[in-house]
Amino acid sequence: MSGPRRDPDLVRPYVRTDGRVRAHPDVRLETVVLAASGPSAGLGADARAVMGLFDRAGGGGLAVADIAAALEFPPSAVRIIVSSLIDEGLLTRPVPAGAGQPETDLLQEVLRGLRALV
Amino acid sequence: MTDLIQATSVVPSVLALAAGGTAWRFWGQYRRERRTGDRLREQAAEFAGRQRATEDVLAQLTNGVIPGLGAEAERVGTGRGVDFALPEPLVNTLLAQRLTELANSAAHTVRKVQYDAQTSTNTQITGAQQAAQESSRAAVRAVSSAMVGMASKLSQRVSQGVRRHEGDEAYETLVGIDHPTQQMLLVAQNYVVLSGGKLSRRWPATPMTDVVRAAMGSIEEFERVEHQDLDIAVTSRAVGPVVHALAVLLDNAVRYSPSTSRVHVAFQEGHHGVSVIVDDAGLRMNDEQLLWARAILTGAQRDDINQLGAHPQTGLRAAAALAGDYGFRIDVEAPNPFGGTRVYLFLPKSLLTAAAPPRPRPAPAAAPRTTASGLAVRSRARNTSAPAAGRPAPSRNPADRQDPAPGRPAVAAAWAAGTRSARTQDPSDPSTTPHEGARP
Repeated sequence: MSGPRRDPDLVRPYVRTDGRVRAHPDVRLETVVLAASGPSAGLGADARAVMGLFDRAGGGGLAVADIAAALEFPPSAVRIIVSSLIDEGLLTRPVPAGAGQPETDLLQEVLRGLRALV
Repeated sequence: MTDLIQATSVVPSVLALAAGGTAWRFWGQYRRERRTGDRLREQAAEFAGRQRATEDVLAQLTNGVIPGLGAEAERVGTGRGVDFALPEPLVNTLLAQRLTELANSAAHTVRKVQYDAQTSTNTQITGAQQAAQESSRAAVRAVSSAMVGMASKLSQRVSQGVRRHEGDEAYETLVGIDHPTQQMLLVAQNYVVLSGGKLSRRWPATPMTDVVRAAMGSIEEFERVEHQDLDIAVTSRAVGPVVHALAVLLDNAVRYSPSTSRVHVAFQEGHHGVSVIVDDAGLRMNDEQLLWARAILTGAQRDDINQLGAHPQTGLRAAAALAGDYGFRIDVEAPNPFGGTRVYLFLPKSLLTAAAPPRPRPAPAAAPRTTASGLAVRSRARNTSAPAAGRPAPSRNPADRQDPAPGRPAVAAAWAAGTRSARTQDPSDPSTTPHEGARP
């Protein structure tokens, strides 16, 4: 792997995001996105790399963090790339943000239960 | 008596004869001596003449010729030869021959001394000039290398920061720092190259697409660059120089074309290598500019750092120097189909490898991030303020979880590792379990 003294970004993040600096506020690192069937012609190299990951994922969804880790891109840049892919209709979010999410207490209960199982 | 008479008459005649004979002899002697005396006087006159002539010639030598030679020795370039008038009495004499030899020898000595002095002066001047050029080159190299060192450290820090902080505002700030930093690196590296230094940053073999995009990172208004994609990779050794040269060419293209126009980057795969073609729609160079640019870019004209003039076109010169050192070629032509300028950067096969090295698979890529516990601690301290403004999520359940709240790279990496291991543990149902959990 790259040592601590090597710059990991030959291609700078602002080039990857084409100068955009804002992601959708509801596209976070833990947000899971799914590939949608949209027109994929004329995509940039990074957009194609992201979409390529979904081909390998076999129809499943990927978290934004998954994508960032797989491509070794800065997570913030991936959030922006994913946001624009959502805008272009190539990715979708399975969960509308804030709608019908379970309560935090419930999730904690589930977590405790899971930990008890492991 | 007659005897006496006879005797008295004979004696005087004998005496007269004797006297006459004596007188004749003396007369002859006198005439001989007089002739000898005349001859001696003539010789004396001749010798005196010769002596005067000799003195005259010596005077010429001491007053005219020798000081002339001395003056010639002092003032370089007053090329007077040995020239003195030989008086009539000395023509074809040994003395004249010797004197001429003496004068010629003196002149020769003077010329030799003069030549030696000139040569040694020239050597000294050349040496001094070289020393001055070398020291100014060393000064430029020292300053620019230091700048490159600091700017690339800053660049690394920004890269780490962009990975460490996830908030939009942090990203915007860091990127705002990063872009000028990359431009500064480009300028500083120009001077490093022109002062005879090497590019210090090393990169792995990189596909052409990313080489172009890396170059775009170093220029203003990179959004105006439209590029094709090519997966053929540039070898590790050449990545830095090619990125730098391309950045210079793109910078030129963007800078000298209208801000509404696009700069196009295309690839042409040939038998001997790959050409990168940069087209702008700017003012086309006039013939003189084109000749100059071609002379610079093709390396026909390589100027020293001391000869750059008041408005140094450092970029093009640095690109040309890199091309010469690493074995790629740059050429320029105008007008192109857009009425602007077209630049070719030709990479021979020796600088290319068939394909980019494979990207790291998701699992190994995620693994090192989870181990970076130090990063997570620090980012928690900084991140509590930033997301608090945007969203309330991170402040929940701090007590019974040692994992940080969502929204940070460390958590995200942990998430990635978790989903990855879940998928590998249950291959019959790949990648659904964690996502099903996220659905309502």
